[in-house]
Amino acid sequence: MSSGLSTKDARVQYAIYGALFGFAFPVIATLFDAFMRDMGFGLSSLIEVQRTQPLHWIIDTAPLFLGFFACLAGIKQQEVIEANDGLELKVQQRTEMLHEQNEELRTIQDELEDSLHRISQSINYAQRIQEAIISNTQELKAQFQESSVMFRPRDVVSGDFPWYVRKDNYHFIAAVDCTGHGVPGAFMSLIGYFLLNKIVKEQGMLDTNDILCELHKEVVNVLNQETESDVHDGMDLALCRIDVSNGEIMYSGAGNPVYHMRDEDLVEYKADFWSIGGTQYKKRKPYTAQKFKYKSGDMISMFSDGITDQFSADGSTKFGYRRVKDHLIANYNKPLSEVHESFEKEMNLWMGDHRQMDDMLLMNVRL
Amino acid sequence: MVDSLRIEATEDTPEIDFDTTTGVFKVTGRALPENAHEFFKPIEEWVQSYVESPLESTVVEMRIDYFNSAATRYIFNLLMCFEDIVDDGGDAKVIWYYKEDDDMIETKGEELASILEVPFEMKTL
Repeated sequence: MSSGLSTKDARVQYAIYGALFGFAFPVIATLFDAFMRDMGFGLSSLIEVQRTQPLHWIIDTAPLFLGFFACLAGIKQQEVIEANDGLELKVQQRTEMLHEQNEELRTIQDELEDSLHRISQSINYAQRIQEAIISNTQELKAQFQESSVMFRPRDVVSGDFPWYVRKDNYHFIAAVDCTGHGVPGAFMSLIGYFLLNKIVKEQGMLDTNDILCELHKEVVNVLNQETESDVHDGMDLALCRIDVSNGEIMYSGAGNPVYHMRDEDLVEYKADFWSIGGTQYKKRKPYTAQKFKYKSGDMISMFSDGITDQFSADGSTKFGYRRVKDHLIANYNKPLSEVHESFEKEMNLWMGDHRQMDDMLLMNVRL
Repeated sequence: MVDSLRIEATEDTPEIDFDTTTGVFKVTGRALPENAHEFFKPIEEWVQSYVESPLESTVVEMRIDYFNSAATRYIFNLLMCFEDIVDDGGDAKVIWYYKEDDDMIETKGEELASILEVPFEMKTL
């Protein structure tokens, strides 16, 4: 803002108008006096009027005083004008700033959207790989027509996975729940999947307790957990070996149980406490195995804690073991496809708008 | 003596209130951190330095209503640190709170009680 005086400056303008207005007083007064005295309006008579009447000398100062006071008013006016100008400038600066910030936000938003898009694309692609691996449950379906797998990842890819391998008369089925979900979970699931395949298919281990012991050893080895004490990851699982030649099931569990149902009777086989992988505890004991006979038409059920730990819509209660058992018992006589469907419905109703807490896996097999 | 440890709860992580003036260590809330290691590691380190010169008596009050499988491992490791106090002839115990209808938390508590060598009490909320 310029501080020099210009003709546009209110102080100058007001002073000029004040002085001009003030000038009218001596002019009118002098002319009036000359007229009253009948002296005519010639220059000499006007000078004469001025010279003989000292009152005019006071009146002559009017332009000075009025100019001065008008100037004071002009100063005030100028202040208002300048304040206004300042405000306008500020508004303009703010507007520009907001505009810049808007632009910045838009750039950030674009970048975020772009990142999100690329991450989603990447995860969606990863899902195809996981799906290809998990599709081996079709083999399970081929062997046990009455079987169903409810597989519901929390974030596209999953730390849970169903596993099935046939070796001679043995059908190995496992519901595996790796630590974490999403991408880290999916990493772990691949480790688990290939280690289980290796142990059973290549190494030819057949006892479920041996398989879990070996799986633990291998996970510890793969993740260097013997030396790297900061990686606690691993998996919980329920593993069944169905021997179709003598109608016997061998079960071992790391954290997760198996349910065996015959008619409306449900028997729970509890797992060993120790998870696969993770910190090396001195007290750790080898996995144990439990065996039980089955008849044609019996059912076994395995699941991950994503099912039992799911909060209700209002967040007050967890689904819990009880509801899983009740549902299985109540629907025992229905075809498994229907059991599957009604379980999905019950879970949807249960969770309502509550977010899914973890990956979910439920495997039912009719023997 | 180490200073008390306090961490505010978030939607996915529990409140940590380890008060070294009273010897009451509280863990309250939900534990499903996206990065369990990042959350629990500093707490574990704090406990490890605490158990080197613990108070006369230490009570760990666990009021957790949800933990995911990764958090379970860290919680187990954390509670195991307190075994050192008992091993050295000190006084430490864990009180495991669960809601009456929460069979998940109850079962987890029973499992931990059977493994941990620290006096372990189960209480309903």
